[in-house]
Amino acid sequence: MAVGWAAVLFVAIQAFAGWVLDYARPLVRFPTAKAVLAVARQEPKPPAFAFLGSSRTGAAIYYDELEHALAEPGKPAPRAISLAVPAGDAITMEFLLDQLLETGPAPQWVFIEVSPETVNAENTWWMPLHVLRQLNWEHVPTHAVAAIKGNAAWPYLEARLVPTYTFRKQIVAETKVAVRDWWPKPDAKTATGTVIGKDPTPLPLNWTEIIQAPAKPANDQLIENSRIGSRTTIRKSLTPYHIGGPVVSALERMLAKCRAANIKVVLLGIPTCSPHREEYTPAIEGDYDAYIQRLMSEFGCRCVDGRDWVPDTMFLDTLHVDVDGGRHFTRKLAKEVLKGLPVE
Amino acid sequence: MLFTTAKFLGFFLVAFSVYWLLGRHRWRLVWLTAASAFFYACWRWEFLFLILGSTSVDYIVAQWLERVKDPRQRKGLVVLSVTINLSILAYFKYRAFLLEFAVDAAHWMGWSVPAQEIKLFLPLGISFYTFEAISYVVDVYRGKTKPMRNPLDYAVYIMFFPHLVAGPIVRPNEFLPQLARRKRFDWPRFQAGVQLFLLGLFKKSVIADQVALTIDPVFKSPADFSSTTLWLAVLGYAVQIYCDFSGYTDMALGLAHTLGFKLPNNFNAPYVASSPADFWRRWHISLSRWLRDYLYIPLGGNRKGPTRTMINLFLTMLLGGLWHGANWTFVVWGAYHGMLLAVQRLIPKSWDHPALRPLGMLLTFLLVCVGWVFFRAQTLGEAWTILRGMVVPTSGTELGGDGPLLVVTCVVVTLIGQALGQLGGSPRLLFRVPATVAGTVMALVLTLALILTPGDGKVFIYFQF
Repeated sequence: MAVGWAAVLFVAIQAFAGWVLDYARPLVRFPTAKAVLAVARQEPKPPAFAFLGSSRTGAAIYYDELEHALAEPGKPAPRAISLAVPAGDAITMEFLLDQLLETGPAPQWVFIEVSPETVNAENTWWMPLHVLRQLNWEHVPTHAVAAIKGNAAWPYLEARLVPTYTFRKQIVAETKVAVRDWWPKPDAKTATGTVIGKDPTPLPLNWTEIIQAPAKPANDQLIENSRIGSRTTIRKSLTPYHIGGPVVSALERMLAKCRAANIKVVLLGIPTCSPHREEYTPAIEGDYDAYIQRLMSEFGCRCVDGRDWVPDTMFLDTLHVDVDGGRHFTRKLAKEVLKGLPVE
Repeated sequence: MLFTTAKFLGFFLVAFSVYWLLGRHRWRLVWLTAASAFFYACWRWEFLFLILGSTSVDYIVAQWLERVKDPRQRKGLVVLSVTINLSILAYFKYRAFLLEFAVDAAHWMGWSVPAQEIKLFLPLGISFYTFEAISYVVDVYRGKTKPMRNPLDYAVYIMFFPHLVAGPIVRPNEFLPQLARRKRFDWPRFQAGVQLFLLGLFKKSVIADQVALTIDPVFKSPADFSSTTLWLAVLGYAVQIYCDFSGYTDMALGLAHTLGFKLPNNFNAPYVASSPADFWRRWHISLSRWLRDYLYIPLGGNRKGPTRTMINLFLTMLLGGLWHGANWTFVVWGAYHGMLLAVQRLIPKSWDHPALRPLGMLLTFLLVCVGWVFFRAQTLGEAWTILRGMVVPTSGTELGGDGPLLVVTCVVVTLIGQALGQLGGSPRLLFRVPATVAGTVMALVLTLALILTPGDGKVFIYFQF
């Protein structure tokens, strides 16, 4: 009897905890999304631009550079916010956009990172993270196959059935923060004027720390490394190639939501090194271009292909630009694209 | 396959369900043997042959012992069996240690001998099942146990998966009679088993593993840390090893209960012991009893005068230390406890006054903690560094974040838990409350264990022995 009651209660606790983590406090499961949203929500008024994407976007856009490039005499520069998170594809971006639309601030323009590999139905790169960060019970029918293909079936099942175990680290961290917030703190000023006891200001993600690229080798070695990386990871993510799957569905839902919320969209091809681009066969490029054209005509969005805007020597690895590459890309983007976009 | 993993849970659910679904007792024993063999093979299947081969010797010797009447031949058979068992144990556990010792000794004498590197996997649970096999043969020889006719019974005795890898060291007369009785599923017993398992899970996953995360860096480079931190680390380790090992034992006992078996208890609130002898009556009880019955008493016990008693105690603990591992730190740890037991014999009985008992508890706890320094340190040099840092005020790195609070909380909770256990609070308490209350407590303990476990698959400390 006692064991039976314990089993029933345990299942009920898991179900309740799952509901809280899925719906009431969804950002507990996704700490990096929580961090970028906290920074975005500090904006005093709706920003002009928001950049949704992965670490590629995170490493490629420098906001101080953007502000500097967009500044005009006598006018405040239009504000831009980063919503790039590690391992971000359209499934992740839709989650972030939903959060942003729910509580604000809603931007005027959204830049959405796109690439041929992320819209490939066979590419399940990020499923092991999606099942932990964004996917709920309602996604099971549409995402289960991709989760199995992406070796994420077990973590998905575990996250659904025993969420208090799967998300234990996040739960403990949140509880500690809650206890610290609740605990009375002295609110005194130091000699330098710093207020002690106040919560720290949210900081943007540190992409150098997140990407953890090894020390940059000589240029020829760098290109050779990129070639090897492209042959292994990128080729795998493009073979076989056909556009579709849950990422594409999320991308199209996101575009529809932006249209409904009167947010203008730019699909942005983030820089990749030339060995990476060489993996896009003419057939892949053809399919991809046709798909992007369809999105542009169907949802009225624009597309900027910046994939070849940064020279190979300005890459950290196959996927990410270095600081010089990021600043170079940001300046070019501001000058050639953002300055021409109408903002209020 | 650790008891704390989902893989084990899956294995156990299958093993448990099939076991109770099988109607006939013999079939259940066959199933238990097969499940235990699978459990062991999941680690390294090759060593399944070793466990079967080495323990088969004892089975055959026991059969012979029944037939042979000549005392010298009987003694010879026992010596043969014990020698084979200890040789296998020595080969796997002490070969590298002995070779290293020989090379060091040769260097000391000025001989040039190239250093040898031997890398052998230690078969999981070898120290435990070897002692069980020896106790079986010796008990048959002494006439305390009848040899088992059916090899299946013997296989279950040795390989029963709850106690296979880290004990408790089961004695034949405790376990074999249970094999003769047909089991009937019993809900209160099942509840007791689940409660014990949850208690063990909490001790291991929440306390031991969390404390380990905090104190492991200190033991890795003790010279970098301050005296306060070294004290915290040693106290933390005292709690970690207790919760790790007693947690494992609780889980083993709980699992055995759910299958209708009773294993001997291994711990009885050791940190409230009032003397070193009392500590060894409460810590790793099954090993202490084994050493007493198969080593200390055959050496002469306390029957040959006070000096010989002290020597016997010292030797028994020295070998007990060596049983734990092939390292000088374990030898010193064993010798240290042997010395404590010997010195205790010199203290007049009149000192054992109830008023002095709290002082005895505190002193015993501190002495045991000093012993843990040798047990935990990788080398004697490191142990010395820690002990010196604990005695001589040293500045250095402090534990950061919540580390000190966590360690102190775990020490206090463990000591209070043991004190309450002595005062009558125990898992049995849950049988005296309504089922809904007991069930709620169990569900909450499981949930808390799941939330607070670091979940990094840290193995049980005693798996290495």
